[in-house]
Amino acid sequence: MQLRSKITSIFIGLTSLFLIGIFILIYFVSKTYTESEFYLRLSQRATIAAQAYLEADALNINIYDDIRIRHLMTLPNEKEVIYPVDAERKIPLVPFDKSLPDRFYQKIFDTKYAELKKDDYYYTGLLFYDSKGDFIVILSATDLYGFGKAENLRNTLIIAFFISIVFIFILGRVYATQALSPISKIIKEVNSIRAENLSFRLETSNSKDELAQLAKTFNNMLDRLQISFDLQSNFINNASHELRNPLTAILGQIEIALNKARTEEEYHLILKNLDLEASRLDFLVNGLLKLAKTDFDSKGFAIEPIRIDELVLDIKKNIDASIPKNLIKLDFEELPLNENSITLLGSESLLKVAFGNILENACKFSENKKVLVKIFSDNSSISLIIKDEGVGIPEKELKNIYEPFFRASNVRGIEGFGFGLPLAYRIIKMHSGEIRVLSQINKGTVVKIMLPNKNSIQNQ
Amino acid sequence: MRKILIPTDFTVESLQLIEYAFINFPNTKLDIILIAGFKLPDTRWAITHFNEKSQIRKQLSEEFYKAKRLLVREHKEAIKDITFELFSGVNSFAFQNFLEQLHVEDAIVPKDNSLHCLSKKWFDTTNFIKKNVKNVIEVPVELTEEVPQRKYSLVSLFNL
Repeated sequence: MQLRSKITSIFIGLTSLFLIGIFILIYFVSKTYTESEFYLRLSQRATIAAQAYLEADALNINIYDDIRIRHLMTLPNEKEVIYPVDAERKIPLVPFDKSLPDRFYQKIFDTKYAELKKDDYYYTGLLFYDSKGDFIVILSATDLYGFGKAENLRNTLIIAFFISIVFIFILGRVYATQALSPISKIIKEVNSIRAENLSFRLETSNSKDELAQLAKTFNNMLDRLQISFDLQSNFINNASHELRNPLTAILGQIEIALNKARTEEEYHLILKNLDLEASRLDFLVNGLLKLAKTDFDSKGFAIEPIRIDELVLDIKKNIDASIPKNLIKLDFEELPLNENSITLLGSESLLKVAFGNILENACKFSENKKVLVKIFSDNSSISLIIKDEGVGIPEKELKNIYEPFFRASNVRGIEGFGFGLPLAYRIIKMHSGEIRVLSQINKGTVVKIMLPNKNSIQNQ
Repeated sequence: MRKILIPTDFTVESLQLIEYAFINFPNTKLDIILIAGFKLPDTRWAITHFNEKSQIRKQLSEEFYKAKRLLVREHKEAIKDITFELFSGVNSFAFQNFLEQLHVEDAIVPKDNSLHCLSKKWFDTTNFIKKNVKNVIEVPVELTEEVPQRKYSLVSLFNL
């Protein structure tokens, strides 16, 4: 059964139960009210009949009856019977009508008033005391108007019930369709994603509802998928392209060297050049290997708790060795004492590569000006801010910085291959983190990294 | 210490402008003034009961507060204060007067794209700033295209 039909039927079931309850209540309340009103009229008529009986000798009874029947609103099928009784001993002086139950008469003796409904007839009995002898007036009539009204009300309610069910069905179905339309849309969009258009993302709205979260979750999954896919498909392409440059240089040098006999110094110089190119190649291959390694899923690397401050200090030590002139300043002032909130779970070697790359870039592109590293954490995340005063990234190129082998147009003079930041981006994404780069040309760059800490992972 | 004027539309994205202020003015304490344009109400009752603070408070979402708190933590040493101001004038003269009151000479505005207008009552002050402030720095900010939905609106209930 489709979710839409389920929602609609539950909706209809609940509302019809509710409606039935309300309608039954309305019907019975109105019926009881009509009946009690009719009994009131019956008893009024009974009083009038008693008056007529009492004053029978004083008035001309025929005229009086005539007026009463014609003008005083006789009820349909009205019938009155008067029994002389002995109220003290509670016995009738003439036998009662046997078709009515004894308890009815008994009640009249007890409370001076009784009501009874038999078939379509309503009976009221009233006990009157008089000096000439006590008597009971029993008045019966049918409530034709009341029956008519009740029947009309019942039919109206039944019709109203069915009409409202039809409307509720239509409305419920429309609303359920509308409510579930984002899901159908997501299904359609996800279905259209193939290996060729992995860069396609689901539309996300700004709202915070579950469906927006679902779309975001899908997009995150697609991000990760695309990253590993891209790596696989582009890796060989990019790698061979980049490897060719130093190789061409090496081959060219060897060719020139072998052209004719050379002096020892010349060979020395050529070998030195070869060494330079080969070490460049070595560096490149190492970098590419690291890039390829990040393609492993979590099975591929060991996850261990890492303290962020220790990690950053380690990286700082490494950079001190490779770039002795660096001016990296660490700011740990905001770190809380709670160890869980400054511990993250991940691969130490990969994170070292990621942070190391970003820090090296910060030093490299600012010509060893001051680089500020600030770490702080809250309940669920650790933030790392790396701020430099370097050349910055042109704003048009900001969105390309995570593409492998992309290099900004203003850093042609600075050595590099353009896979430091993409690698860092991938590593951070693998750790479910976020990275943001804000930059202004010739003013500096701020890299903000946010990683979930141990607290948040435990809470999940 | 420097006073920096930054237009805002009370979205988290617009807070990026503040971060650019830190990049552009390093090693200085900044007094940041977030400014939004607001058309004064046109009934006498509404004008007499107009309260700048509560108007601003109504626009601030929980995310905005959170992002602002984070920003303050990140740049504790560089921030002197972050305040909100409403500009309710209609032309550049009014804006110049407004600037005189604030004594501001620097401003940071988004390049190319403008900020959202929350409703008819609010307007974007970026153009006023560009015209009248002495030192305007335009920065690339990625603003989301979509207008954030209002917190409690009947339309959003049916607009699934």
